[in-house]
Amino acid sequence: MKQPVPQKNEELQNSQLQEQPKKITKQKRQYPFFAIEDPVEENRIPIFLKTFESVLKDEKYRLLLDLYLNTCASCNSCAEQCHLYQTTHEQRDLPAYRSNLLRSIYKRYYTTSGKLLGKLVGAKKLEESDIDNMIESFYRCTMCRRCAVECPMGVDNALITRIGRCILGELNLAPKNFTISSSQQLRGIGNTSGIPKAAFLDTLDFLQEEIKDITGQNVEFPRDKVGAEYLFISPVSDYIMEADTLMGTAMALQAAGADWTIGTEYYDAINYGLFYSDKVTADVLNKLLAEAYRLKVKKILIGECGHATKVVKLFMNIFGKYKFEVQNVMEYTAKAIEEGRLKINPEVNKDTVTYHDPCNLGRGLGIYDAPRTIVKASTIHFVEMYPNREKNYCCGGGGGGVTVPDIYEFRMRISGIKKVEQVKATGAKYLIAPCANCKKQLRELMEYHKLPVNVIGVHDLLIKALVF
Amino acid sequence: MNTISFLIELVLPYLAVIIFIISLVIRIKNWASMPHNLKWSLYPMPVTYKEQIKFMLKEILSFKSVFHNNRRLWIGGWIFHIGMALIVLWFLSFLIGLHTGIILRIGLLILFVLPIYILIVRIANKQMRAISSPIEYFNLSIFIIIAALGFSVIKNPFMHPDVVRQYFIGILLFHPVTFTASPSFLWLLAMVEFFLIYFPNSKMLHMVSKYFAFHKVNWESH
Repeated sequence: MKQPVPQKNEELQNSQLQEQPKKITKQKRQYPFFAIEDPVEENRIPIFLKTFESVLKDEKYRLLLDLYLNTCASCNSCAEQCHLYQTTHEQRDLPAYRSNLLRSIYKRYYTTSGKLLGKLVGAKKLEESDIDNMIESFYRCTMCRRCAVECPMGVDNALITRIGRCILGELNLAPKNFTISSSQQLRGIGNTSGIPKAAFLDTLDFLQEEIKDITGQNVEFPRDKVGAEYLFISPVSDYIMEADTLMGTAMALQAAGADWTIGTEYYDAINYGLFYSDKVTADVLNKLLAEAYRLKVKKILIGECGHATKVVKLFMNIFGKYKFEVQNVMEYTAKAIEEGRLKINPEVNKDTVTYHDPCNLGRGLGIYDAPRTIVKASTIHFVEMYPNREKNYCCGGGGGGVTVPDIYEFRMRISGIKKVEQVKATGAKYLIAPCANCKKQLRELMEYHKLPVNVIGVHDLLIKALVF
Repeated sequence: MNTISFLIELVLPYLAVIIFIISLVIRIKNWASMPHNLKWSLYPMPVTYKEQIKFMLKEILSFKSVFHNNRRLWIGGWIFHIGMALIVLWFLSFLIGLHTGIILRIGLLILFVLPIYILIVRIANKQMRAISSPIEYFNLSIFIIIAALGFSVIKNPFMHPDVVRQYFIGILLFHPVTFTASPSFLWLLAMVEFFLIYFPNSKMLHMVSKYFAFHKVNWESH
């Protein structure tokens, strides 16, 4: 016998009818890898694809992307070179696997075989989870390009990573530290460290006094000298953290007879745009070039920093409103040493030193010998780390990662481990690293892993060694 | 001669070569003419032409990078490419009447065994599997099939080398000679014709694209 359906309580029925419908609140997307400011939450897929399409049509990238996205022998030579993969042995850290995150989308939407055959040819329809994967994956990569050195097909996974980051950047999916610092540089106080002009000028005076106290020499930091041969510009953070590097630089330039100046309207060579945005790259670069134009200099001399030098040298001809000859200051100083314009006494630097090749200076610009010329001239016990030059490992904070505190543990325990092993093996007391970002990462590594190694810049050695 | 034999023996050879040449020219012209405003150089780079040739030859002849980084794959890949070179060498010597059957047999054996080996490496190794897609397995299978058909043709007593030689010379001189080809020969010819059409439109053109990746991108100085 069929059981009767229980009757609902009338009061309960009425109260249910009067109950307001619950608001459906959309859960905010979580970004566990690093903090993001104002990410685009809606329509991510069409924006991503539209941006990708515009990058593919972009004259700057068309050849490179067509080659890199079409060519990969899937041999995993890149994996054997990647410091990240060598540490984690995780599939997601295979450089080719990471590049395939973008390559698979390219095949699906921009190749006939991809549209027709889909997964059979490695093509994939873009999903929200793919974008989330890319956010972490493209920022785990430090863009060191060690993989590119060994690729038999000439593919550069770091460029694919950069393109991926630029596309994500259009969705505001970049680390908060990048976007806030760049905003401060472009719209705020005018530099990434928030140093106002008055404080900057005080710092220059302080550095001059320090040099006088240490060496007894009157060394000037010339300011706003119109028509000078060189405009010297370094990351503004050097004025807070790398006083020795700047003092050594000023001493070397004066002793070598350089006609140089610092610009006080714009004094920050940092350009985080290199890591995530062409627009920011262009805007920041043009601020630097405008200062050089204002002072009517002939050449630009970038401080020891790798990424700062690379941005100006690589992107000036594409984005720059003005064009200048560009040098890294180490190239100038090394030449001065070779030409005998600088007298150096290496005996004052007796401790064992070793040298870290920053990726942007070495693999990016071929600046391997100039720093070594200065270091070898200024010290008596130089030990090369192994491997070195184009095979040297990334500090672990590359691609701007050093500026993202959220990934500190990742940098200390994963991306920087290979470098720690290298430094330990040298037995050096001093680790010389010209790049500002590398220095920060390396100091944090030495402290985290309790290594008694001091991290200094190249020109730091000249403070004691330079003979006036 | 039936329609299928006519197509495979007399029409497709020319069509396949024409499509091969046109596709190759289009892709090379496309890469050669594209602007490359972004200097994304990689140092150190060989500077002089002599240094560049030396670098490329070292890589092409020894697969140096893969040798250092993925020895298991290198064994398969390097010997496989030698197999392909042997087949080409055999074909040229065959056309001029040299008896180089041993080179053909070695080449076919390599073209049969090594793709199977590479397939196993790609499938059995977790990291290789992660970056491989079905099209890569398909590309290797083409060679296995061609090699198997090649062996079948060699073993067929009715496929006399002189008759086959006359056929190919006739094709090359635009004076095709018809003959009663065995089914295995027709299949082999069809597969080779498919390969010629497919090759320039596939990833296998990496031998050409790498030239541009190095010369136009990595070795472009500031």
